[in-house]
Amino acid sequence: MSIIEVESVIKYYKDIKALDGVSFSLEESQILSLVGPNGSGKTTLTKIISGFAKANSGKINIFGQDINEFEKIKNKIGLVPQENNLDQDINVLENLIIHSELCGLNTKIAKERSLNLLQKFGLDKYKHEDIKNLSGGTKRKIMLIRALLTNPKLLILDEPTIGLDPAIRRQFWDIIIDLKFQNISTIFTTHYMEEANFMADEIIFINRGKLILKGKPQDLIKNVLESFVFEIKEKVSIAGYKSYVYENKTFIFTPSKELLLSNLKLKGIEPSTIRETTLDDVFLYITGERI
Amino acid sequence: MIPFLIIFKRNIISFKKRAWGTLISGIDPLLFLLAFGFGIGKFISNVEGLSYVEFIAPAMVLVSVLYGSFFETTYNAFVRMYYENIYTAWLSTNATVKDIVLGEMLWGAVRGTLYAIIVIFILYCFGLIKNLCFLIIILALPLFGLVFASIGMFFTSVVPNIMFFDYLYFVYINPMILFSGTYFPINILPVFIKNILKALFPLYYAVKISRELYLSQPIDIISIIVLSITVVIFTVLAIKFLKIRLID
Repeated sequence: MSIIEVESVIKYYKDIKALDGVSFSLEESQILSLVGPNGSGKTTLTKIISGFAKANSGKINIFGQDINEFEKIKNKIGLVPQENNLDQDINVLENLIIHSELCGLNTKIAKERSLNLLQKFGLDKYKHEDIKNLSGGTKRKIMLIRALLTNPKLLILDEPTIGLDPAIRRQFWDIIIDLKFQNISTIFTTHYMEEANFMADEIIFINRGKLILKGKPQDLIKNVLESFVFEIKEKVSIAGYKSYVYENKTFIFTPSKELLLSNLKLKGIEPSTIRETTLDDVFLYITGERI
Repeated sequence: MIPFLIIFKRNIISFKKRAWGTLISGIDPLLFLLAFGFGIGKFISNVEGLSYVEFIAPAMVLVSVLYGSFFETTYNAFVRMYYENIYTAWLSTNATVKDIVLGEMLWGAVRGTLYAIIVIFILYCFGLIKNLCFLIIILALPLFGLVFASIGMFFTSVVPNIMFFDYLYFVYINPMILFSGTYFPINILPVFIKNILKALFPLYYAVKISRELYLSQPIDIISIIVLSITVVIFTVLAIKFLKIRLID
């Protein structure tokens, strides 16, 4: 069953087309990543599916409900926006209880659930702490806990690990993957390709408001490029290979390192780097732009 | 519990943590009372049959309501909305823009009421409340608070940045405090100017009711109607514009 179905969505901000006919779907217990550079439209898309922006045209269904009936499905969705929007004037536990109560839980259940989740995430020691005293990583985890208070079936995360150090980011990834096995579907935006590759069942590349590629991480490389890439510090052209030039460097893709290496030797060309193809290469190959 | 009451409750929790600091910021009208009432008032024989300090005392109660309610729903609400993004967190729950506006207004009105009660207590200590019937005003303070809170929320929904409130203070709030019959009776002004002031400044009607109660005179029901309509108009406008601002 599709949790989210987005069809031909267009969104303008004044004269600027932020989204240009985007269509995709998210299946149950799936993790979907929207990957694109800043200003590509991914945050606009998450704003629309979380009810904070309205599309100019197109159709969106979430849990089979039209997005215009968003109030009916609000409690099935947990949202972690890009910016810290924890309440700075009250402590961690108060933040969670007020949020739960606003979601319709009574105070007793709100408190129980908040304490349980804090304990589960190993953060119960911070329950009486003011938000301003927490580290960036802890704030993000508290925001995730807040999103989970209503036992949502869908999580929407906008750049969930932005600004976090690698160890905390990795912890965050593990938590999201763990939630998948509790039948929670997740859609998240990122411009960290490594993050999308690690967590996502499906990746959508989005650039300049358009969906440019969609697929499983392993398939994106296989379907678009080859397994290995040779970097050469000059502009060269080798017939029969997929390649592109970026910042005066040539990137040549091959399924077989040995064959390309011998071809280059014949032409007297020395590659500066030989490595496995990454999703960054796929994005750059398709768009001509780096994330 | 209804979402707007939970937002109100959240504001009380936050207030409890810094109650003294918040209440101290409401002493401005008391300073005016001391400077104008007991200072300049010594040089003024009477105004409308009252000593000057007695003339401005009931108005200072209303100025304190205005301070508490308006500043809570402008500067503080704007910080919550714009800098702390708390409104987006609330909107991801069952709360709607209407709940946010009502919750903030209700708290603004209560804060203004608390300020006014402190002023009333001090007036009593100075012997300026000769007729205890004036204390009935405490029941009306939340209505006055809602008037200024609704205006505050309206401006919060439309201002581009927090600096704008400084301009607003100079072009609207300060003139309202000065020209609403607070420090002098506006009857001495030409009729058309008086009518403009009455149309622009709801504080005029609030001060009028306060002075009527102070003098044990019957309350003009028109003032209550005007103030109630003001609350409705600005609440509707605040909801409309805040919706546009938060959900684009």
